[in-house]
Amino acid sequence: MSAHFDEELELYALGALDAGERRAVDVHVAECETCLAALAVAEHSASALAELYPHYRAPHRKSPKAALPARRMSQWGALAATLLVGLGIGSGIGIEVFRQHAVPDDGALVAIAQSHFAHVSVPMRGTAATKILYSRSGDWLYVVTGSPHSLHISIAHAAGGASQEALTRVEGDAAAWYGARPGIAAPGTTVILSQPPRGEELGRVTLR
Amino acid sequence: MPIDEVSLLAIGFANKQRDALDAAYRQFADTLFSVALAALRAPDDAQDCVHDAVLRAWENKTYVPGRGALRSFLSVCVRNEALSRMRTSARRRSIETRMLEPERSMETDFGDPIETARVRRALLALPPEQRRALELAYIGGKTHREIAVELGEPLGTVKSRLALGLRRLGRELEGSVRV
Repeated sequence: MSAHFDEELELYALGALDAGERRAVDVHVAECETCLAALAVAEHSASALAELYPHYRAPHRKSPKAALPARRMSQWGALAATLLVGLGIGSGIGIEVFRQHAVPDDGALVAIAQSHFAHVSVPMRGTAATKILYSRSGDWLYVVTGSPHSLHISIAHAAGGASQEALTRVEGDAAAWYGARPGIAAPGTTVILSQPPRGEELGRVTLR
Repeated sequence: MPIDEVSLLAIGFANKQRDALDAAYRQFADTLFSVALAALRAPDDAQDCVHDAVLRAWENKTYVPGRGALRSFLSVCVRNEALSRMRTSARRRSIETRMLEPERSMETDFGDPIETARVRRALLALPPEQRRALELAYIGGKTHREIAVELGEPLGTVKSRLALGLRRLGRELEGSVRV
């Protein structure tokens, strides 16, 4: 790793660097927690200066469109819904869940379709059935529950280190979350579901 | 430590969750649009800039919770994107001049006047040379090299003024009373 940045972090936050200098900071802070923390402080201060600009209402408030083309998403959504129904989760968790929230990137459903995966039911306290689908290679997992309540997910790895936190998204009568990165569903990983924000534990399961 | 809604939104954005993208876009739309508009002036360009900057940050996972508040991060992302567009276009004009031109056709609110006054007070508390450098960078949209040329000062001096000025501004804001 290169030496720490100093004044460049404030200049970055102020927009006073040119594009090449900015990229150098981006690359560095991706690996350096010390400079990342200093940049966070600088960005907090610099963003306060936006108060000095006139305030306007944004003419459009719609979110950016997801990268996944609608036609392809629908095709994979139908496949995924079929998979879920086949697993006994029920038609209440249907295509819409996948279309809106189970496809955080365009590789998600492709990964599911092309993977050898396992599934496990999570014994839940006072909540509808919840299942976790996860790849045998351990690089993705999908949490889906037939409950119209968002759940906090904590993924603790057997190897230790920081747990990963997430929140399922409610859609109709169901909620779901998909995560993908190497080792996220490695054997021994424990998935804990609780009332948000990380309150009463509702259920947990350790992946094999 | 319990995770509040703001933290959950940040975690979701960092994890590339679609609903977090939607929520962040809705929640910060006015702030980010105003930041982009200050540099680009044209509403369509500003909207386009916000769209591209937010979507790129989400897709490339450039935000991590250690980066601080998601709002601040996105604000800086959008501003840097807007400045890049402004600097590479022939449309560059002084932002200070543009700020005198009201956008009468657009729906405005005037933010939080108390918060605006608090930031102004913090800025006025800085040594004049630091304040001037910050104004040229943040309000004027100039790079440190352009500021050095404009002020006729060595580059190192200008970088120090910007960095020290922003750090001191942060301390002033932290110490000031929110009412």
